[in-house]
Amino acid sequence: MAIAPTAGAGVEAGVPAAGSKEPMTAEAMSQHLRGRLESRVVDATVAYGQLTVTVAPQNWVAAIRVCRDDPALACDFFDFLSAVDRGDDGFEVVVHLYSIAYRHKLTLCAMAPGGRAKPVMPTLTGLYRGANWHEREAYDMFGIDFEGHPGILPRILTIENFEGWPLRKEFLLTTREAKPWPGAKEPVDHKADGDEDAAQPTAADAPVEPVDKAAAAKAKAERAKAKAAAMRAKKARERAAELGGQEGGDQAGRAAELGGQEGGGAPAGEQRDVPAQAEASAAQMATEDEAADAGQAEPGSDVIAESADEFGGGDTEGASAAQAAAAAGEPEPQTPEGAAEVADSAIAKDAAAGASAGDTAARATQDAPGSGEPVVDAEREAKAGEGAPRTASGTPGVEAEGRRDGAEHQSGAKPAAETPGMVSPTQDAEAARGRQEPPAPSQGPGGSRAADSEDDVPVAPATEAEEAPLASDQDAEHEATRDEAADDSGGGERR
Amino acid sequence: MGLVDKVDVPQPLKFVLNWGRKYSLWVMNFGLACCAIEFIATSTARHDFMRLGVIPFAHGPRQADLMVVAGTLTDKMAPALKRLYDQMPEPKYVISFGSCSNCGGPYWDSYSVTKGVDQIVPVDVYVPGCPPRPEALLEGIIKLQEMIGQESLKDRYAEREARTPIVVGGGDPTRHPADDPA
Repeated sequence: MAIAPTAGAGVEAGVPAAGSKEPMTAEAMSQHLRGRLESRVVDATVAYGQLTVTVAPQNWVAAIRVCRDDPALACDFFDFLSAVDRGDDGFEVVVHLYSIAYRHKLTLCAMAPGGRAKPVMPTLTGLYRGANWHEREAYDMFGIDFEGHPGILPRILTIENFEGWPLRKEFLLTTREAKPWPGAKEPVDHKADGDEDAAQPTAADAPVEPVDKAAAAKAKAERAKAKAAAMRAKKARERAAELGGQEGGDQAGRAAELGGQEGGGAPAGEQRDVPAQAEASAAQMATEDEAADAGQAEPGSDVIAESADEFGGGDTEGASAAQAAAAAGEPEPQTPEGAAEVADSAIAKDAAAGASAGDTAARATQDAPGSGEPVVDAEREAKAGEGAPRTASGTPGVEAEGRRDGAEHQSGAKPAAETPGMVSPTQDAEAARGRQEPPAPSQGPGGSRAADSEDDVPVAPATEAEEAPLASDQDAEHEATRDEAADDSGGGERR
Repeated sequence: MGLVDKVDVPQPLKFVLNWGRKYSLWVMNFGLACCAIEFIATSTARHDFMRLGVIPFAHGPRQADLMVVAGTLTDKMAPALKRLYDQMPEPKYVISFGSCSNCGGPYWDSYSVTKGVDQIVPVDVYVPGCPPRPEALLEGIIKLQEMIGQESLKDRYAEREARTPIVVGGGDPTRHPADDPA
């Protein structure tokens, strides 16, 4: 077979110089092709000045031969061939042709017969030798067989024993099965012009319920206590490595457990410091004073006071979030934790969006009515059966938002956790969740990488009710492993 | 191998031998992606790792002492890497340059990328970055030279599979950044 493109009429009198002829417009080309191919043209569309012609697969080779040989088209250059996954319909093979003389191009496509199970197309290697490797690549990536191809195997892109067709939509990335995608899955809201929607609700949009200062203060005190306990655990770690007690009862126990899970508590304590300090603004300090006035914050050591300062960032949100959690009908003893969780998750979300902490509570309500997603997540949370059934009378925005972040953390909210100021609140939220939701048997101080990945894959089929607690366990496990790794390797620097 | 892997060379002699080896590292550039450009930049006039005795572009693996794997190693390429590594004469060293060769980097979930060359060949020095700057490679080379200066070849051969790699800048480069604490 000749390597020189064609023996077609268009180039009979020698190969015309590149670009020596006037290119056809897409519309003219469409007319011309309809004239030549007649009813074999299933569809012809012009988009962005380029013609796309759909033909039936049995006419695939004939149509492309016309495009190559017709003197007015003279598509003598095979640009590329690929395929598109059309879901249940199967696969569409696409070929781009180009005319060197005319400098115009043309796209042809056809649905491969055989559906998803056994897509087969006639080969173009008889027309263009260059189609050879393109069709091999299409076979490697989509599993489309090309009838008459001189050698579709060996695999050209993948390894010889590769299983599956990686560009098919149903292809599973096993790595992601073992470890969920750490990036953001959900796009931010966009305005019509494509810009990120910067319209933030103001403070006036915040929930109008009276802020439960007592609950907020209590929540804050709880967290301060936990923080102090974590720091104590850190100090005690060198002396007694067995501090990671599994009793989840009192706050100190919880903190110790947290510390134990996270490789001795040092990361838990320290990472929390930086962002919290960064976030503590004058306004938040004021709020904190208010909270202290409410008389609920427990007096404590310097450590506690200090850590309370550092937790200032969460207070504004903590109040309203506690309210929301309470309104959502959660059992009373869990309310402070729930509040902390919601608040911290909200902070995480907020900082991820680069907004100031003061907007958080307001922001939290933002998504509730519009996008269906928080509603879905709220439903999911309800399914998870945290305790009393949720009533719709709460502030679904705050609740859903906070929860969504927590729930997404295992799958979606990782980039947020990468910026300073992110890890600690989320961690805290997770710790709260981990405690709230009963079964966390496999979390030990020595959680290793292997154990982590094992636990990532849910072995037993989870019922709907179990789903969320399971997810939270995974979160905690992730955190534990991560911090442990940090402890092991990069610890020197981070301290 | 000969004498060096059976006998503990006396310290003065070992010092001299190691001193000679560490300033004469013929390097094979296993450039696979954009990191290879940084490697090349390191070899050119501004950074010039030849002043450290690193001689770029060995004629082939059989003439090389050091292999710098710079770039994204795919499963398809991995057998070639292994083969070329096996062709290098002992004592041989490997620098894993860049996130892709450390752990897969941005292609951590890809169907085709090997998640770290250390699955294929033993790595002596990890240089993290995406891509790392030439200075990072220089530091990695210096660390490697320090290691060579102090090592006993007998011990190196003995513990062939159980070496502790050097990591430029510390940390665990095989861990994905998404796992990093803030």
